[in-house]
Amino acid sequence: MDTMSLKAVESFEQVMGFYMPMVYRIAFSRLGNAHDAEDITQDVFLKYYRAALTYNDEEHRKAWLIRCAINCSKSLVTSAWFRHRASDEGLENMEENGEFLGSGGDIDKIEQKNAVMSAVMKLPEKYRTVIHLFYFEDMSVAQISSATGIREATVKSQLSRARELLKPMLKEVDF
Amino acid sequence: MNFREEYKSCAEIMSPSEEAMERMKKNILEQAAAPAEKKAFPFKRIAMIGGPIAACAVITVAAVAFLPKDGSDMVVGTVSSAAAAEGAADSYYMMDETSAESVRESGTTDREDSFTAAAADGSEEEHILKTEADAYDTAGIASEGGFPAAAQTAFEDFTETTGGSSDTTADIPVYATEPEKNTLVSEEEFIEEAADSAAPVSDNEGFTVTLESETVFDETAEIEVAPAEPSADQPAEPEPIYEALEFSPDKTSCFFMGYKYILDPEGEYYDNSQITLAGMIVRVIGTDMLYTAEFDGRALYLTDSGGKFIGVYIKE
Repeated sequence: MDTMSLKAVESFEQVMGFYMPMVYRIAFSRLGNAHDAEDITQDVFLKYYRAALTYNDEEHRKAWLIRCAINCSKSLVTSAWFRHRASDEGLENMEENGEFLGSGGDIDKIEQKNAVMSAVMKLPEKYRTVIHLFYFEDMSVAQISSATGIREATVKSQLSRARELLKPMLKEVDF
Repeated sequence: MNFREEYKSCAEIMSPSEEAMERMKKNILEQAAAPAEKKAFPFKRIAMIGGPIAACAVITVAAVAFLPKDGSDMVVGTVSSAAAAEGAADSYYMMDETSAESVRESGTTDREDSFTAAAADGSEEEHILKTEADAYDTAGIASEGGFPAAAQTAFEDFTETTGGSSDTTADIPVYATEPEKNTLVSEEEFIEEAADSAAPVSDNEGFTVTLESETVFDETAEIEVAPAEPSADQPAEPEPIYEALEFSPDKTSCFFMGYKYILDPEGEYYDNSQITLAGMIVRVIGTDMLYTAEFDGRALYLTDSGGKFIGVYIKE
């Protein structure tokens, strides 16, 4: 990553290859639908390419992409088309496709994974984003604050509330 | 069981497959290579934002333009009436200028003609008075003697109009209209009184105010102050009209409102209860004195301005 140029045009394919899974997961965590996540991912990188910005460092680039993914997800959620669609459709699609089941393994573990995922997906969108960035992307509260534009105190409170909501659903899990 | 480890293992499900990533990259590159679509002009956005603003502006302008002010029906009407008045004033001014130019060309004006006529009338009037005065002077009535024929005729005419007695005895003086022209006083006294009364000078003979310097007032300059001349626009205050009381030279009789009264030296006929004419101010002909006259139907009681009792004159 250190060798990648900070100019958006020069390292566009490399940036896509490196950050596309992150952007996809953020979009998926907010929308709960693979197809919508793909659309958001494509929109984010198109905007990245057309903006043609020059970033100070990689953290700056990463924060820009995270912010753009969150904003694009918000725009899609507030659109009339998305609001008139069933809310649990994405989750049902995932279950039908067997994505929650995974490629194999212990049933208990699979069921446990589904329980964790199901519990997280039941959280509000803003709590899901914070949980994902903190627990999956291993970002600190300050990094989450700079990436999302939310104050650190707010990030902490959202994390705390998310944990409180998850504890009843995940009694055997340690936060 | 750690939530972080569990969530990371679960979140792998949310990661895109290789096929999905290739598909997305292809689509992104194709769209990036394609020319950017021209955005349509945001008519809808402009209409949603600008429409209410324009409507508010139109309503405000209409309200300001057509709102009645100061009770008038229309602001436009007020403006038009003011313009009409101004135009009328301009036309009046124009008329004055035009008439002024014509006046300068002709050298005469209607006003001057009227002044000339008035002067002519005045001169006639003065001529009449002068004739009467001359008649008195000729007769020497101021001192003694009878009345000349002209004066007698004038007296008779006066008595006929006022209903007074037509007795033309030698002691009865002629009733004159102007005290300055009355010949009951001597000629010398009349001249002195005329000089003291500061009679107005006729025909532009008067004092004029002149300054040697136009910009700086020179205290050493001789300034002649002219007495205020009555202007045509400002009529002189009308002098109060008093009934005239005319005494005989020896003041043993007097003539008042067409009747002759004989002096009662004892003054025995004064009776307040019979007063029918009370506190009337009369002017003594030949003087500037004003008497207060009271009449009880038979006698005339005279008191001067200082309150001094003059006498009782009984109606003849």
